[in-house]
Amino acid sequence: MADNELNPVIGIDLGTTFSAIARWHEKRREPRHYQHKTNGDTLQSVIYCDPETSEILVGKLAYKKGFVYPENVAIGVKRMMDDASQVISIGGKNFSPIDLSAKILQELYQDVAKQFGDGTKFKSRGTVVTVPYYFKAHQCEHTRKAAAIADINCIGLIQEPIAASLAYAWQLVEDRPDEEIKENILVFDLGGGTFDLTLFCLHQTPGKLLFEVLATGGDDRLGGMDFDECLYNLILEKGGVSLAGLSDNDQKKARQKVMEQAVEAKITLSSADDTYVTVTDVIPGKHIDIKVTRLEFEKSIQTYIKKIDNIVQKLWAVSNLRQSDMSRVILVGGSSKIPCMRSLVCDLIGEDKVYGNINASLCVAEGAAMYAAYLDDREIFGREIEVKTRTCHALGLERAGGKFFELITANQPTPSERGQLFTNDVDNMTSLDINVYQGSAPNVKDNTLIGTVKITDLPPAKAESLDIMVTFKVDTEQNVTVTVEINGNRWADSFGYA
Amino acid sequence: MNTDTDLSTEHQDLPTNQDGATQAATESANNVVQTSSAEAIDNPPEIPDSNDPSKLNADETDEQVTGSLSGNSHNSDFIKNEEFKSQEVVSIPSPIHLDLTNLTEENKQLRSEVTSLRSEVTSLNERLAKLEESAKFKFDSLVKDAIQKDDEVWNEDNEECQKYIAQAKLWHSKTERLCTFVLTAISDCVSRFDQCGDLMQAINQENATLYNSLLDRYKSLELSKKMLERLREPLDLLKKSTLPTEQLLRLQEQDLVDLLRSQTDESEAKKILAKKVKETGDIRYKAVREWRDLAEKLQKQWLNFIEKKLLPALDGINEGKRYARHLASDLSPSYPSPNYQDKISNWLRTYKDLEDILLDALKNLDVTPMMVELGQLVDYNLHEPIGIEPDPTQPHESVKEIIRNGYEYKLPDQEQSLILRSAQIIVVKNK
Repeated sequence: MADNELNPVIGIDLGTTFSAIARWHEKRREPRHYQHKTNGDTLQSVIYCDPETSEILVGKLAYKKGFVYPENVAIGVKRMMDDASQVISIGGKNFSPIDLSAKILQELYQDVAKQFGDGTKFKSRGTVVTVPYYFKAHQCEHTRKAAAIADINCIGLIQEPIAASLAYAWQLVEDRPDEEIKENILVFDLGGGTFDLTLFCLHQTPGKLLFEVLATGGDDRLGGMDFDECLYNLILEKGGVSLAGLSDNDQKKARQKVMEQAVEAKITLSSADDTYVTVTDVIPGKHIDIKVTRLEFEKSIQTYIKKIDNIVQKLWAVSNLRQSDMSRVILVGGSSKIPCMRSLVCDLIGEDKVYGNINASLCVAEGAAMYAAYLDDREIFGREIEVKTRTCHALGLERAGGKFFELITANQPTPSERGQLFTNDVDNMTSLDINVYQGSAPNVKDNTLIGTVKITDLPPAKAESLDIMVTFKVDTEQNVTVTVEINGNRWADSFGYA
Repeated sequence: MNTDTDLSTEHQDLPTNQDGATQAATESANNVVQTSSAEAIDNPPEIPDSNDPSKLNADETDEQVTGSLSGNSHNSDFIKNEEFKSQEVVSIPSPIHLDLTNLTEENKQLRSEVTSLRSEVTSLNERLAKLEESAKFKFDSLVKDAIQKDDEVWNEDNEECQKYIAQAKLWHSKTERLCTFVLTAISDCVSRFDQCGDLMQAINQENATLYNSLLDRYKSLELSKKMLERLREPLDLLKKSTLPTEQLLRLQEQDLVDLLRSQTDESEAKKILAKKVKETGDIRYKAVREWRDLAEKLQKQWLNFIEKKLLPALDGINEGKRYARHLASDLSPSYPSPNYQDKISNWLRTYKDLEDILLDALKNLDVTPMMVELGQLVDYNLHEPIGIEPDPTQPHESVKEIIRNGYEYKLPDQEQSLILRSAQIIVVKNK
């Protein structure tokens, strides 16, 4: 367990738009992120394949080349990890989402390795990769496979919100090691393209550090880039400039200039009430010189604020908690710094409860490195770490007449299991389809079909004479296994659900 | 006259300026101190305490001592004295000689008890002395171990911290240079803008058509001026940044001795020391982290200021210059007189002068523009494509147009330049 720069334990945040890598520093007992040689703190999750040489580029370089050759570039691969059979053709070659994720992991890992000579001396003795909370077992398995392809010794996966809160848990363990502590914590993760909200209870006992997820919410298509676009439009409108009628290249040039100032203004407005936006010659002879206030910016992103607020309120209602029940709010992702976004949770829970001792862009990778340290040395937190999850939706099957029969309720702690006895409604039924749905509407047509268990070769029997035992089992990784037992014969199938 | 000699003479002269009695008292006091020190080594409990008034009184008259012991039992000085006495347990009183011939049975019994008790006291004193000796030894060694351990970590922390301090100092001094050169450049630019403004006024009075033709370009220049003037406030803020103290906390032997003063249990003492070493290490490393974060912050601040604040103003000037390229020839037919050519050239030279002022300031900060040639093949490490255009006359994937200049910077002791900002280009795409 000696501190060894050449064989550290590592954490990787494999993100949709950006990824990051960190190590655990044994001696200092703290995580430390690695800087990418050319990309800085984070690496753009973009992959480029050269059609002539088959060379793979990842990050900023891939993004730049992808501008000229969009057919050779892949972005947002993480969103495709649900279906590994998808074929992504870039640079004339076919890749699966797993292959492309492996390229991102490999770039992060190899860049660190090359910081120590030719790269052959560096070998992590254990790496943890992060996954979103909603990732199902097969998606987790795909992530593990990606790590294996990248020749990374993946010793575990950790959900992003849990990773983000590990630094706080670590502080509790360090400051109050002997106390039994129970705290409700909300992780508000607003990144470039996704929004995730996770409420959990952190329970510290002498033997265990338990993260029990109480409720989750989010939107995987909402993030900082949407806000940039709104501010960009506001600047053009306020500046009285229209790009209509320009050639494609002139429009791109003008957009680039204004967008850069919009992003800069967004950052400034996180700490200032107003800022100047000045762009000379947006198009030749047309200049913008305006003052944008924070209020105007917030008004421009009102639709998204409402969306986020709805998700926050919904989660808050489900949790059935009062303000005094909450202990901490952990803000993750660059856009969580925007004051009005911060207010959405702080007004509800209290500004004083914001945990500020983390880097919003790197805490997920750093938390993964802490978890890797724990898997490497189980004594490091002085106790075992356990994560308990809950079902995201109600689960059930289709009864006669297209009615929905609920077996597992929503927000049920997992693992969870429930069996129910059914019978046949017709004589001499030879086969039966058990349709499994997620949702809670009384009619199945209003819910989402997630799979079917097909039962064949049933023995001839009169109506209502068969005992059909159906058991639903949901594991911690949100997989539902449906088992059907009739006259001692068993049929079973597993499905993931969102 | 030499100052040192003066002081020395005065010092040597000092006793002769005092009366004999004072001098004698001083000598006497010196002797007392010396004697006390010598005694302290041989027999620590009997050190006369010159700060203790009761002791000083005792030296003067025996009566006062007696009075003090019997009559002033609640006097604080007495309490001090009692405490002092209680520490004398290790010194064994000399045996008392008794006349045994006239002793009654009762007396004999008492005598026997006294002997027995004395023996017990002797034995206890010996045991206590041994224990104290043993405890004293163990704690000394524990304290030394703790100090050694802290020293080792201090050395490591200090080594790491020095690295961050050097980085922070480098970026701090670069920030100071940034403020100095950019503030000067802004003042120079503002003067040049004003000259151009004066020229505009003159042209307006002489030729309204020419004035109107120049107005768009002039407005863009005015915006660049505003952009530069708005930098004064953030620069003033940057100027105020200071560096924290370089002292790293280190464990002191006396602190640990004080910490263990009331401790007798070795394992407890070990725990206390381990906790203290860890606490000290944590506090110290917090300072190391602060230096690390500061170095990182100063670097980001410096780069961010140049890239996001200063260069956009220069970009506006660069771009204005490009748009004004053909202005001289376009306007020549409207010149009211041939010597107007000089006036317009002077007006147009504003761009170059402003560029020169700002580029010179950047050069002083080791920031230089990237050399990008039209027609050269795209280098994706240095160039950022923001548009594509077919052009059969140019090689495929070559630079068609430079939209925005790129910049590089150099650090001391580094040969290779680092990219501060990529050059934005339009790429020729013929395939």
